[in-house]
Amino acid sequence: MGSQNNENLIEIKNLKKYFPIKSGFKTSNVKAVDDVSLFIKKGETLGLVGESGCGKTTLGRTILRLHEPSGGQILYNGTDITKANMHPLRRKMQIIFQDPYASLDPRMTVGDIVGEPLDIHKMFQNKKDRQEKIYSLLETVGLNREHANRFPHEFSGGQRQRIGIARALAVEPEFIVCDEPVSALDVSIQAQIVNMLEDLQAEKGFTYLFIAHDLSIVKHISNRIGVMYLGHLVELTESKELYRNPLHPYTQTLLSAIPIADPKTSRSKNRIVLEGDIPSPLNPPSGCPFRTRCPHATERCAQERPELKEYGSGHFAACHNIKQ
Amino acid sequence: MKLQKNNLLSMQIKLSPEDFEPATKQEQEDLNKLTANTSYWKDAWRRLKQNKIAMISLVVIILFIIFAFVGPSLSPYTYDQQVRGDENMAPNLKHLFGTDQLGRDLLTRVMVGSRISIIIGVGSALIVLIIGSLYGSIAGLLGGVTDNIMMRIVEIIYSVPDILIIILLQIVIKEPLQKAFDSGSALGWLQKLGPGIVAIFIVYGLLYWVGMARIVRGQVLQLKQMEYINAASALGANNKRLILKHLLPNCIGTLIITTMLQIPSAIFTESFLSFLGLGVSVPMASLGSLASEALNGVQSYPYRLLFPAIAISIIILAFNLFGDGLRDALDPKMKK
Repeated sequence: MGSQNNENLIEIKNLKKYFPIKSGFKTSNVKAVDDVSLFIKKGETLGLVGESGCGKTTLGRTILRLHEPSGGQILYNGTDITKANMHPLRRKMQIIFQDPYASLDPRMTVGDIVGEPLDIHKMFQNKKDRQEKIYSLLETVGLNREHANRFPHEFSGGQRQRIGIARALAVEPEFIVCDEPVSALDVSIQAQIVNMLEDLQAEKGFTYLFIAHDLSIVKHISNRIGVMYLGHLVELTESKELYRNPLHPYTQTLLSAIPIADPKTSRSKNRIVLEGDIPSPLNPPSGCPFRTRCPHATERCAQERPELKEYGSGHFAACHNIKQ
Repeated sequence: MKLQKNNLLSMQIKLSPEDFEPATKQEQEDLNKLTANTSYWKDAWRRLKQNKIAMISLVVIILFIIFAFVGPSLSPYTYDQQVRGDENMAPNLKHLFGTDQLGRDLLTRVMVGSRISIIIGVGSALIVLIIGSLYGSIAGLLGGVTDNIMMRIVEIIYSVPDILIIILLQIVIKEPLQKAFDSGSALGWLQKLGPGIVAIFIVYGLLYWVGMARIVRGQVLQLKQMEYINAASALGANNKRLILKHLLPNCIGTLIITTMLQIPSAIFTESFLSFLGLGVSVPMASLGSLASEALNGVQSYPYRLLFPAIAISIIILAFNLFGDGLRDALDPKMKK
C-alpha cells in the first residue's frame, strides 16, 4: 500500500515488534506491533488511536528505534533506517512523552534538561549562545527565562509538559512522535498544549505522529487517523472520512462510544457494546484479530487474516466483510 | 461577611469589586514561605539536623579529624621521637597519654595513628565508590548477557578470602614496591605508610568494591526504566552520558550512604591487620599497631592499650551512627 512518492516523510512496511517472554524453557512472544504498514506525509498530523495495550506507544517508539524492530522496514525520507546509525537521525526525529512527571530528570535544572540535546549534538561551542538558545526555547513554549535555574519538581504538570516539548524542539526536528502528550493533564491544560502543538506545526512545519486515546482531541488535531487493535492497524483514513464513514466494525464501535454532551441526542444514540475483553497479545486469535468480539464475524475471519485494502481514495481498512 | 447568591438555587455567588482587597504584606510573605523551594539537599539537611545522634556523631567526626590532622603539629614531640629518660611513663602532665618503652609520646602516636586510620578509611571508601559505582552501573545499564557475565565475576570475587589475599599480596608487592620507593621520590608519602597499607588499598580496589557494585546495579536496573532515561536516549545520549549525567546523579543518596558506611569497615580492617602485624611498618603508627604493641606489656601498662582502643571505638561508632543518620535523611521513605 501507499504510493512511493517524495511527500512521505515516514513510511513503515510490515513493521513488527515482539517482546519475548520466558517461562521456564518456553519462550513466547508478545506481539505488541504486528505487521503494521503506514506512511506519514510531510507536514501532516497522523493520529493513532486504540485502547490501552493495543501497541500505539510501542509503534511510536519503534519508529524512533527506541525499541529495535523485530521485523519490517522503517523509511525516513525514502532511506531505510531500520539498521542505520541513529545518532544523526536523533536530530530529525523527536518524541514528547506521556508522563510529564517521569520524563524529566529530577536532578537536572530545567536549563540543563533543555540544553542536553544541544550538548549531545554539540550544536553550540559558545556558552553564551547555548544559554540564549535555551532561553529562546523556553520562551517558545510559553515559559520564562527565569525558569531555567529551577528544578522540575517546582513546576505543574502543564509546565513540565512544556519543558518536555522545549527539549524535543531543541534539536530542530522534522518529525515528532507525540506519545499521549496530554492524557496526564487536566482538560483546560490539554487545550493549551494541543493548541501550542498546532501553532508550532504551523510555524515550523513539523510532522506529527499523534498518539492518543481521546478521540475528540485526535479529531481536532489530526489530518488522518489510524485505528489500532491488538497490534494491528485496522483502519486508516482522512479524519473527517473516519468520523463520517467508519468501515471497520471496531472503528464503528469506538466512535459510538464517544460521549455526547447533550442528554437528548445521547439517549437516542445507538451505542454498540462489545462482548468480552481484548484477547491476550501473547495468544492472539487466528485470522482477524478482532473476530472474537466482532458482531459480523464469519468462518472466513477465523481462517484468513484480512489485509489492509483501499476502499475509496485513501481510505484503508482491514476487514473481510466490507461491501463496496 | 454574608455572601449573596445570584438566585436561590444557584451555586453562584454575587461578587462586586469591593469584595476584593489587596493582600497584606504579611499574607504575601506567608505565601512566599509556603512556596519556598525546598530542594533535595535542603530537605535532607533539615532532616539530618533533627537527628540528634547523627549531629553528635558529625561533631565527633569533625573533632576527631582536627585531633588527627592538626594535633600532631601542635604536639611538642614527633611520633617517632624517643625522649630519653621518659620511658614507660604513666599518663602525666608532660605526656598526657604516657609513653611507651622507647620513650615515645603516646598522645602524638595516637594522633598520627588516627590520621593513618582516617586516610585509609576515606581512601579505601573512595576507591570502592569509583570502581563499584562504575562497574555496577555499566552492568545494570547494559543488561542481558553482559550483566550476567559481570555479576558472575562479582560473585567469584565475593567468595575469595580477603585476609589471605592481603597477606599474599603484601609478600608479593613488598620487593617491587621497595624498588619503586628507592628510585622515585613521587611515592614518598606512600613509602612512609609502608607496603602493608599500599597492599590494603590495592586489595580494596580488587575485592571490596563488589558490595557497592551490587547495590548500584540494583538501583540502575530500577532507574533505567524511568521515562527520562528513554528521553535521553531519544535525544541521542550515549551510555557514558546516561551513566554519568543521569543514572549516577540519581542514585547519589545510595552512593553517599554506602561510602559513609564503608569508611568504618575499612578502618576496622586496617586496625585488625595492623594488630596482626600486617599493616603499617615501624616506626609509623596506626591505631591497630599501637594496640598490638601495647599487648606485650598489657599487665603493667594497660593504658597503652586503652587509648588506641578507645580511639578506634569512637571513630567507628561515630562514622556508623552518622552513616545511619545520613541514610534516614537522604531517603525519606526509610523513615518511620
